[in-house]
Amino acid sequence: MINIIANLFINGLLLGGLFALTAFGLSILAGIMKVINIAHGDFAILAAYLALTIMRFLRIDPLLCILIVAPIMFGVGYLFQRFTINRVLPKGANQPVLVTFALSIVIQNLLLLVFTADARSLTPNYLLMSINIFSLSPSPRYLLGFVSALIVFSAIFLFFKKTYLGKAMRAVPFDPEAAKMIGIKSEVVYNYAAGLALLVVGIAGVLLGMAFTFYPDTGPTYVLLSFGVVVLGGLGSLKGSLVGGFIIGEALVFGGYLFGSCFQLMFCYLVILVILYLRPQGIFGGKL
Amino acid sequence: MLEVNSIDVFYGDLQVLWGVSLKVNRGEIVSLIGPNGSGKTTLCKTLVGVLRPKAGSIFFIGKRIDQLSTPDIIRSGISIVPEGRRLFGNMSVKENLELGAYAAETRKNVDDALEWVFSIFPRLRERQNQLASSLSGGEQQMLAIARGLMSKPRFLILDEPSLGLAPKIVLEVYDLIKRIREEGVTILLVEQYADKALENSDRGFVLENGRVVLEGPSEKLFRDERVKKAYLGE
Amino acid sequence: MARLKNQYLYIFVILAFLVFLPLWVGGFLRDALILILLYLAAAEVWGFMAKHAGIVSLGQQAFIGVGGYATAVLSMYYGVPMWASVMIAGLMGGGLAAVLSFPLLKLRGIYFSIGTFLVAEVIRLFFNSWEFVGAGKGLIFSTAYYVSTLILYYPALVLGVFSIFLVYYLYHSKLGFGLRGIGGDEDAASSLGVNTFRCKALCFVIASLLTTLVGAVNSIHHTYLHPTSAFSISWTVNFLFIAVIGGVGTIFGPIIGSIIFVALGYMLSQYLGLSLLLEGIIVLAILLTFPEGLWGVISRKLKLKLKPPL
Repeated sequence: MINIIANLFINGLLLGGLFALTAFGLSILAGIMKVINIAHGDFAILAAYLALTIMRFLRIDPLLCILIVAPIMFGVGYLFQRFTINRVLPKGANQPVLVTFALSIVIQNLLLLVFTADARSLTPNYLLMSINIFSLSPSPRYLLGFVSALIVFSAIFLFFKKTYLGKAMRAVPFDPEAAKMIGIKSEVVYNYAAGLALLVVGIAGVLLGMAFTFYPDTGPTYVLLSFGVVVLGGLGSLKGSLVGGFIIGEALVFGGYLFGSCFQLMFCYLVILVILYLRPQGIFGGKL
Repeated sequence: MLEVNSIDVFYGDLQVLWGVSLKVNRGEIVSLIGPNGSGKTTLCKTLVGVLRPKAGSIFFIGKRIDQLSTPDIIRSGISIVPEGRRLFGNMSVKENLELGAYAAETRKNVDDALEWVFSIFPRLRERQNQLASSLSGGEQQMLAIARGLMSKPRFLILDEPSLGLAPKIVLEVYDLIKRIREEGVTILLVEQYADKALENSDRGFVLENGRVVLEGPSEKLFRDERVKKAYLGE
Repeated sequence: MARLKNQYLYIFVILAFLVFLPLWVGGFLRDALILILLYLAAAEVWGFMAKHAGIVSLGQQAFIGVGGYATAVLSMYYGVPMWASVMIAGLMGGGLAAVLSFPLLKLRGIYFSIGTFLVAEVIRLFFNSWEFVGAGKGLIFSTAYYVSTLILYYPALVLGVFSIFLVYYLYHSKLGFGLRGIGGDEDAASSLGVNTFRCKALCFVIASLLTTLVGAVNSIHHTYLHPTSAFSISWTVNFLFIAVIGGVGTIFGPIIGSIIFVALGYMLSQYLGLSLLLEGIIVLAILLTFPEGLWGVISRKLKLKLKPPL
């Protein structure tokens, strides 16, 4: 019994790391630009399909695809911010909802047209074998996601702490006018922040594609789960994303064990709804 | 050094400054006084490019700057310590200082600039890794001024540096201002409390309702009847 | 006085025309008209909520699905007469909205929108596993076979026309006044004594009840229910499309929007996903360039001085 619980717990933790990474891109956009991107999950799936295409043409390992997908997604984020979000922010609080929602639909149906509704997966064979450490068997796909998440998070932490652009990204949301007065151009910072956010989303998307099968319409599931992570952990907070990811990961894993795969997602969504109701500002606070 | 020629500044459709002109020569400390809402901060914002004048021009060391972007203006050598300090409370003292050099040439040798600034503000060196929001009022003002100096400006604008500070700290701040002048920086001092500003400056301008109503050597303004009645509480 | 009489005359003539219309057209057009009217009704209230109350619901498909399934279950399993089933289903939808308004309306802005999306997904997933209603295999609405298209037209007409009057009335009522204050600045409205929760809840319940009725009539028309289509997000996408094309929150806008929408649907019916893709692209284009929509542009060009909410 303890073995089962321990296994579930470990897998929840590992999965949580992956979800924390997935949600982090959403968190950056929301924390810095104050916009929640409904198309977030669809961008992740887009990255997975991109990796799929690259794999088909170049026949390389999906992990290596990240090296190509990441810069592409950075560019997508940059353009997204420059031509969409920038236009929409001043017009009123509801515009970003409608625009990102429409974008979500466009991406989903574009993917449907190009790649059909068939199930896809990026899982290479080496991730299908089982691991056994101390009589625990963590899922290798989740483990990969977790380790990658830690690496990416560390890199981002260093970026925010040590580089000028990273510091500017922390300063601008705190006091945009002061930042302007010392010469920081907030539009430029926002463009790069969006690029960074989608770069992270892209990496997460490929990892998700390696862990789970995906369809053109899998996007909304990931944005809802990411939203759950963000709500739980607070906006723009690295620590918060990890904690939120952990909770969602455990909820999914235990939910799957207790209620079966049919109700797994439903259980998770209900957990998120309950948290939204009880503590809309999340565990670490931070209003939108 | 700085020449403001008859600028009109608007917030949207609302005009805030009418034909404002002023001049600051190299090495001077010039004060700009006037009541709340007279447009002092608007003028400061226009000088650094956050706002643009709809009419008139601004020249700095012979170069026209009123249509330049803020980073370009900072690179020309102007820096501002905003009203209310406007520090980044979520970041450390050192990080706030580093950001002061963001747009400037000094960014490439940020450590040199830091050393220079720490020599003027030793207390900041002690607290360099502390969160900016954890400093006292006086220390925060020091930090704000220090941040303004990180770009090694030739011209520094101080918007209400004594606001909300205890008298003892205000004296410290003004000593610092004198020290900064000694380091070769020309200063525009914007204050609501006219007495300290006029005591410590060479010349002054009085701004009321968006217009310059008086100007002259600080000594003279200090003794001027109108100024005394309105601002020096006599 | 004469102007007033004229307006009523116009409305009467149009209504009379609409009432007799299905007698003159063939079955295919009747289907199209039913769809237009149903989508019109749902999009009108969706747009009203979004524009005037500041509530953007991404979960109205929950009510469409509940309306459909409730009607089918009541009619087939419990032998309730068809139109009574529809009414009861509507009330159930309204009740559901009332219950949901407590947790959901505490949330602001996008949190609310995502909350509605979450709820709709939970309901969809639930129905997908609920054996009682056929789960993933779907439910065949056998008793609906006996309802002819001609008969079905009239409830659809009622819903469509009613939604227009409802939106107009709501806008000019005290409730509407309060809602517009909330939509403008919620905190300001609250400080002026507007009971924001009650206003938003009332609006949400009314809109959702109407949406449920739309779902009920739609299920009779379609005669087959499946969780994926009954609770699909594409319902909301379509409402958004219709509302945006016309100009979110206007009355005439969705009329144009739903006609365009149904026409587009028929033209692109063989291309899976293409119609939704096109809708999304058009919505994006409109939102980013002229958000007042087609109706806004037309009324400007024709120099029609229309008072809101028209």
